[in-house]
Amino acid sequence: MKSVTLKGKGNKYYLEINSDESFSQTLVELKSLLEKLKQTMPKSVKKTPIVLDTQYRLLKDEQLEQIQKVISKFSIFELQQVVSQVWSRQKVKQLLNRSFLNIETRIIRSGKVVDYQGNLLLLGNVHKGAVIRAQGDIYVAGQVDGIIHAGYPDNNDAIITGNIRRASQIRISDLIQIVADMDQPKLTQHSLFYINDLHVIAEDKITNLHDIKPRREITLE
Amino acid sequence: MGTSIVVTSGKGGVGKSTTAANLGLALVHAGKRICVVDLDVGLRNLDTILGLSDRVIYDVIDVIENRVDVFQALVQHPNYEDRLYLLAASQSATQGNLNIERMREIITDLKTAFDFVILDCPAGIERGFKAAIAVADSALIVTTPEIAAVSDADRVVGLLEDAHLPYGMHLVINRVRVQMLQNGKSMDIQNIVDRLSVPLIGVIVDDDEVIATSNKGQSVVANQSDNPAAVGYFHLAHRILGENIPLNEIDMEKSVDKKNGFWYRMFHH
Repeated sequence: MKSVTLKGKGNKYYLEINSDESFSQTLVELKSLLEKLKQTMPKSVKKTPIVLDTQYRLLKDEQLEQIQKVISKFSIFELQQVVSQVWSRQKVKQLLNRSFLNIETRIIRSGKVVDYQGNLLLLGNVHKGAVIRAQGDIYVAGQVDGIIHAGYPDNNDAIITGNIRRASQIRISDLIQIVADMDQPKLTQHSLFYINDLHVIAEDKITNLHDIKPRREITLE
Repeated sequence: MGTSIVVTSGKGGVGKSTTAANLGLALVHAGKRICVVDLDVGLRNLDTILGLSDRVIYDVIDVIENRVDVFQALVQHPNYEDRLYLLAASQSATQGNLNIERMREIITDLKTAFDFVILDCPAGIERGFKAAIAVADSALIVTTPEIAAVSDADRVVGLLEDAHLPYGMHLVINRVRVQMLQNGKSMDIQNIVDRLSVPLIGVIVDDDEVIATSNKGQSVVANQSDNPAAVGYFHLAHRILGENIPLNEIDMEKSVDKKNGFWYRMFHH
């Protein structure tokens, strides 16, 4: 069985590495494949973008570097992307965390700063002087007198929903809004806050969330 | 160049923060530009008394640790154009984070931009107190007519004498209950002044409205200028500005020692 195969799928070129073969064998075959190609190709051609598919194997950084070296040596292809059928545990954990829904039922008291990975459904209360921060969205059902920070530290897609009329500040990503400066009567339990195209915290209704910020699923590359 | 005033007491709960806030407001009413700095790191409340707690974004520790410029960290009071600013205390840090060298630089910067920089000192005589007196040009010692408060004030006076502040120190007697004074149950004002031998510059009577307004994030000085406590704060502010207002809040004869008071020298020469 060949350990390196060049394929064209859709409008992209793929370099598939058979995960049943040894890595050293793969390097040898990659070299000979590229060498053959080089001979049949005209000299002054632009480099073609290519996707490296490692199939059921994850390459270590130094292995990837070796492959990259071979590819750039022949200057036929330009490595654009590396894909595989498998993910590392670390990456899976990261992705799961991103969509995880934390549920907070405690009272967060003055001076406390509590961080959550992923999204947060806030059922408890946040007292004045306390700060809660989530990487993702914050859905407020409890009473907030303190500061709520969604998309901490730099996730511009995060949103805040719910009644924040009594809160001191709402923050999304790197933006801060002082609630006392907002149009108070407009703030209800149906309020939605997000970052708009001008990178300003904007206000709307939850019912419009789907149009404003379509929630992205975890996508398989 | 402005002047920095530390409001200190030793004992907690005598009204340092309330005095700092109301004095700041009274000086603003007198046309001055004021910055109040809360040094009660860990248990801040000057922001709440001034009704600014919702607006705090950065604090004094962010400035000390160079995460943000001092003027960017100031919270502007929405009711006083650009005449009243607050540098809030941090809630998460401890007094150990108060680097005295950085504090000096920060207060010097603030003094170039404001007429007065009022420092609200934490209770106790630990790091926060030391940092505050290290950067102060003058001190207001706040005490109440209680023996415990006066003894702590005496200890603080001793420490302040060693610090040799350029403009010295003055005494404010807070929460004076006129009725108790009249029937002889309270410590006599004259006795307190004699015991501490610090020139008296203000007497503030105890009034329910001080706490009532503060609970709403307002102050007597801003809301009820004819309130007896508010009058006390206004007189205190005007004495600091060098005006000769007799200390008659409760019909006393004693007045500020004019020749030794720095306020007098500062504004009358």
